[in-house]
Amino acid sequence: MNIKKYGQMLLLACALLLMTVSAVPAQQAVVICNKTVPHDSLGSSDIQQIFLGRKTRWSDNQKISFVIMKDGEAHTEFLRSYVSKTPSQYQAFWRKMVFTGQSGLPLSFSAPEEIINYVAATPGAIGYVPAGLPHDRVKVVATVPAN
Amino acid sequence: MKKRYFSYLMVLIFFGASCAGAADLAGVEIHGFISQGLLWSDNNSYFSADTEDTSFQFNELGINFGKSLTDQLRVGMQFFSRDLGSTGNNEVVIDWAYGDYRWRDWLGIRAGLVKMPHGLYNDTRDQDMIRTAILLPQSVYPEMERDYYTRMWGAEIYGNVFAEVIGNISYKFLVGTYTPDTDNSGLAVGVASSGFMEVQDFNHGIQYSAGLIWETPLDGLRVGATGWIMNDAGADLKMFYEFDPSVPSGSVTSLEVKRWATVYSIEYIWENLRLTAEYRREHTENRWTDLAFFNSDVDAEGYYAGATYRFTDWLEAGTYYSVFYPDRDDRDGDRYAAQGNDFQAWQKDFALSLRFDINEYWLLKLEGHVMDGAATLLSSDNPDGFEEDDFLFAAKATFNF
Repeated sequence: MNIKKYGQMLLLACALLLMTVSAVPAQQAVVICNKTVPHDSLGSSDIQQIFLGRKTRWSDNQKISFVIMKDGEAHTEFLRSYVSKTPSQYQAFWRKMVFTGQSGLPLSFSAPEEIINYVAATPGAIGYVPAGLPHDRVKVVATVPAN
Repeated sequence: MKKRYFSYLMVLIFFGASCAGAADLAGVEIHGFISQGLLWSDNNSYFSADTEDTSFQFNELGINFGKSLTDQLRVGMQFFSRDLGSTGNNEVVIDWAYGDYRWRDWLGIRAGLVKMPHGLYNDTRDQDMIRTAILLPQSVYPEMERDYYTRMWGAEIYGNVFAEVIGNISYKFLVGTYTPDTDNSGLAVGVASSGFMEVQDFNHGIQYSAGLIWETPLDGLRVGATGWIMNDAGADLKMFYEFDPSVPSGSVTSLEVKRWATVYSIEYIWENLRLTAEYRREHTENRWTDLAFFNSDVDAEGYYAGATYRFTDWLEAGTYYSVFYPDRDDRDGDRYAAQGNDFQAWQKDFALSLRFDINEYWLLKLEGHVMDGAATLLSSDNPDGFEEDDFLFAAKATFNF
């Protein structure tokens, strides 16, 4: 293999690498709401209070229905960024709520598409999904930065 | 509820276990747990169990049902059964059962059989899957006295108040009463341990309880204060020894008790690390109807500091150092020394725990305790006397859904 061909292959490899890097979204996940929710953006404290079950109504008194992912990187990063808990700590928090009678378990889905479908169809609903998925049926109110 | 319902409970538990996650019947959510453990100790026996010969009298079993009737109204109940040595004996009881009306996020009311606040971890003391350690620090969560502060029939107002500047404040105020079962209560076992008397009947009167937890603006830091008081509690005691001719052996006399306790707590969580410290003060005034020379006012004190760290999805470790003085005015044990053993004045406990999460439903724990002192030991468990230094090993497996 001569130097010219070697150089071309190296250039091609770098280009492919750059394409891969540029395809990774700057956001890990997005927080989405049903379009009836009376907010176009939400602060971190509101999101935390919602996903800990402490804030149950929007400003227009509409019931908040929040939904979570069962696992995955977006789930982990969302919890770290907005709830300040690891997945095991979050699970322990809700187990405590359940086994002291204060609440049932949050609704959860494995597939992000199921979360989008639920949030789009449920007035007052809020959830989070990996960035990059089509979400024109819902509105984005916050982002989860990549770690 | 008698033990014959235990089998029905087991059927329900394993029926639920066949489902992925919680069971759901017509909108009623069903969750449950079952734990079985063993205790082994080197020199002394603990918790009214013969731990020197390895005791398997160490389990908890629970199943709960809950349903939201409206956006603001929820009802639920939990059946519970436990065994720890001579206490519990797997009698099935109602752990909690209440209606919960959440008028606003900052104000709600519950009525029924409600859980009492005592430190950060009392309300989940029987759910092994929620913490790292098998045994909660006995300096703050004494097993043999749990009937004072586990639950009450009554009412509770509660709420969460949040502001960016102050963080989140959770509060609760309760009033009610609860009378322990004399056959299965740790309190009754403790009284009988003396060999001089046994409890015929308890009367806890009215109890007041409150809890305040402040999640500060500093992420991961929360502090708390909880407490309870009972002003007109008591017990009828049958005597097996004549301390005074006015109360011959075989007769029943009365004891009135005033008791209060407070726990101050601090916890800091940073990613997979959790640091906790709690301090308990408890004041007891005993007034005998017929044996005034036994009247006493005693202040107990206990505290611990601990840490846990989750290394992987399946491995978590924890440790704590716990110190308990049944009489904070006699920490050196001078009064106990006059009766034989000064080390009955304290109980110091260094614990190390490992938790293995096998999957979402199963977990296994191993735990060792290096003990110094005999303050929490019972004479009836240790007829040959107490040893100052000891080692206690615990293991436990839990299934939950």
